[in-house]
Amino acid sequence: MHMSQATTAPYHRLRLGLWLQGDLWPVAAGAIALLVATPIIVVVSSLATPSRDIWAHLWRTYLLELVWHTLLLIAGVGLGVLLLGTGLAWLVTKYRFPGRRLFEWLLILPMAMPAYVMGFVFLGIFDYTGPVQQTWRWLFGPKTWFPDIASPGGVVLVMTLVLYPYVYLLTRTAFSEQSAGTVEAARALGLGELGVFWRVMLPLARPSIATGLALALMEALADFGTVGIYGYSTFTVAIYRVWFGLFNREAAAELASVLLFFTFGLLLLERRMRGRAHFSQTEGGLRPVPPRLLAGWRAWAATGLCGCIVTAAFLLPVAQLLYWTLSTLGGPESDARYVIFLTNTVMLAAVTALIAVIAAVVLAYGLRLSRSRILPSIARFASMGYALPGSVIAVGVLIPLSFIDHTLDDFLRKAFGISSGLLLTGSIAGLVFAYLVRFLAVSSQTLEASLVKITPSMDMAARSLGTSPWGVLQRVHLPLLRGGLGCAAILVFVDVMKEMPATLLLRPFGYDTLAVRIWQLTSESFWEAAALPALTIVAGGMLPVLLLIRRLPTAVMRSHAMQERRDEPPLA
Amino acid sequence: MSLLSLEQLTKSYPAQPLPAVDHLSLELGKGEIVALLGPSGCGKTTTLRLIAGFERPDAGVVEIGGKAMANGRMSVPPERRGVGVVFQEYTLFPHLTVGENILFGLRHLTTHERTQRLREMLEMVGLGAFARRYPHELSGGQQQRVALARALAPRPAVLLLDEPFSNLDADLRTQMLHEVYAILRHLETTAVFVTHDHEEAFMVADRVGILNAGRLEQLGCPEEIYHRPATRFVARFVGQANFLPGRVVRTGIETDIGTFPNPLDLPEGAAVEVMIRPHQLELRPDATGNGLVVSRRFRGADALVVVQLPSGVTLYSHQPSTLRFQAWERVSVGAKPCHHVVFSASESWREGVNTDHANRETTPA
Repeated sequence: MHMSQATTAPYHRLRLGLWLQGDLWPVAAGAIALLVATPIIVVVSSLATPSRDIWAHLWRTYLLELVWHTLLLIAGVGLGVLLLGTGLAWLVTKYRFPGRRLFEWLLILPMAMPAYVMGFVFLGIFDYTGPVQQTWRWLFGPKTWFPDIASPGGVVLVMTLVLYPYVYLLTRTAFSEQSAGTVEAARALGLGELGVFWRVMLPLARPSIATGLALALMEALADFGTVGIYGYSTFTVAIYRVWFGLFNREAAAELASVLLFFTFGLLLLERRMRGRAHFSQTEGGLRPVPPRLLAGWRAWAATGLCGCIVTAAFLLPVAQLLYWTLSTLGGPESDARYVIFLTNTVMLAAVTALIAVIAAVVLAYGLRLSRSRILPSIARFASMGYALPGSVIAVGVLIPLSFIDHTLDDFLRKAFGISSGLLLTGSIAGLVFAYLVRFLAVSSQTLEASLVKITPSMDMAARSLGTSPWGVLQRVHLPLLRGGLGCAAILVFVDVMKEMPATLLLRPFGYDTLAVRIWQLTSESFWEAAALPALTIVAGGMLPVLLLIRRLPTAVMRSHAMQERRDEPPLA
Repeated sequence: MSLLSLEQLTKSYPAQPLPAVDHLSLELGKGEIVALLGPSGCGKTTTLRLIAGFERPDAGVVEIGGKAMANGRMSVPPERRGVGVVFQEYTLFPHLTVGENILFGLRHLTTHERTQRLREMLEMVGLGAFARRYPHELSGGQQQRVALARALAPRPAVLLLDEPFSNLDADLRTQMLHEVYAILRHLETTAVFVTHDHEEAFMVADRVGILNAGRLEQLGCPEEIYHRPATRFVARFVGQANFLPGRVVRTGIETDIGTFPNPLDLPEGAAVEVMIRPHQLELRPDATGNGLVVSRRFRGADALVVVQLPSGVTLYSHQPSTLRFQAWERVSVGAKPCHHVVFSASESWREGVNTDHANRETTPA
């Protein structure tokens, strides 16, 4: 204990002292973390101070329906992504069949598709007037029954198809990291192949499955665009209606706090399911289980299953979007304002990405240089924004910001007779702040992952070789962080691009983005016109997926990972 | 003139009652290699960091080449000290190739000089073909060599090595030890080498300093440290040692296994302890002997034989493995130490605090 403290902490202080006086980084980091945590605190505190009238009203009207719908959604999507995600992960890691290598990454692609895009595409395809039902009626007569896509089952299906990759991705990694030694030990102890799956592999993968499930369900809870157009009222829809329909912000805040409650429940559940377990396979002995060759019809069944999923969840919707886009191009339904929406979206996303990356740098260095015990907890609390639905954050941002706006405006009117107008809520400032609350965790986690690779002794090595502190930053830190910074920026950029409810609630009047436009068009069933914005968003969504695919473990990557593990600082 | 000089160097950390380095003084001549040896937390790494400039001393002076690098008031930053450091975990820059790593500290040279130096360094560590490789493509030993080349490339006045071999496995460690030693000697490098392994320290260093709780307990050549330890701490840290209780009588020091010379005219009647290394004990099978073999463990070249004396004192001895002692066999116990190291028995010996300067020794008989 003596040594570790002696070797790390004071050194940081010295380095800091040399290129920036004082404890500036930790203070700035604390300020950022607190700022980002404010909206969360605002919403939580509105749960703590319930307004009796509003609750009575909510209870009489649609609270029960909302809770029931939300629970149904969680149960349905949870079951769906568990089965699909775990099953597909199992299939591609444990068996060899035609196309396995290809499907390993093709199965991630649906991640690029926001649920609301998938939602309206499926409505367009499977609705009464869609091509499928038309063919059906032509074949079997006009009165033949066909399942209604705009139903709870339809919502669950759509969300399962776009959200299963979370479970798939994490579970696949967990399965592929399980060493053959573990399996052999279980076999030697008398377990059959199925027994090994149920009693060894699945329990070992449980923490990863739990995390994937929690991520998928958080997305499901946060979804607004899909449930909105399917007429399936959940909290996000209710918040939107109460906000814009009734202009009742208190009620919106109360509803947001209930949604927050669900999210917390999910986080707790994840922690419980993950348990204390942090399974790590013996290092060095990472000998993966060789996949078994499937033969005959089984092999083709596996290929067929994977093919069906990829087709349904990615190829079909993309093809449909392309078809719609091409068929409307230049026609009366094409929208010249597309360029404006695109510019707005890119601008918002770029500004947010830039700020989020800068904030992440400050936060990461602040955490690294500080010895405070409070700062990490504040930072962890602030990073919860990622778990929160955009609607909740929008409510949490708007309440304090409009308070500031009005206070400032009142003060200026009284003191100088001028009006500042709605400085924050009337501009994109409030919106960018809301994005920051939601996505700071994305950038800071990405950055921290690359920062741990820079050990304190690396700085010392550079210094002893005659490099000044700024030189160390330029010649060692920046090159090593460049990848992380780029990744963080891309991830935030794409997340902002896709975010719908927060944008809808907080955008300045008339400031439309691609996501907003998709909502406007799809809530009026203009599927064809929504195709081009949707396709743009899907194309953007491909970026992080491609990053993920590039990181898929290969032999080289593994040796790299080993190296990184060895280089981990004593701090970590 | 000394090339590196530490004078009364002191460094404390907040929230730690004892200083990490406590009034440490040390001087190194040109080309001298000194090993700082001690257990975890003894302050050896902190000393290295004070020399390199990663820490500021609370008090005391660091001088390199006659120039003050740090005292209580100022501290020259590490990049202007002309000190090379080899780290325990090698710490190569992962984004740079082997060549770029070695060139990292050579920005002030001309392109020609740089290529020249790079070739020289690669040749020296035998990695001529590896200049374009990345660190993660190298083995542990190769990374270690690159780290050494990188630290030596700018021709530092002093080279500091922080446990450089502790990440290598046993075979490679010995090999690297010899290689590094040869290189340092060849370049006549002045070096401070920190380790917790006394064999490493003995093999590499001209002089060895034993650190305990931030203080230099003893500084001397390896033989002196081993055979004439200044304190019981030193005696134990550099190898196994038996402390045999005895009493000063007129003829010398009387113990359970015989009488030893009284090295420094200790007063008659004084209670003392004589240090005897396990290999200095002699055991002979003897049915009437004063020792009882408690256990014997074969170790290869020799065997560890534990003997109990009538007084209850247990002695550890190393015996040739060809001698087959049986457990519960009676033996006669004798000793022929080449130096007689005697500690006062009355002082309380506490781990980590050096209160013990009562030891004296005689020259070899």
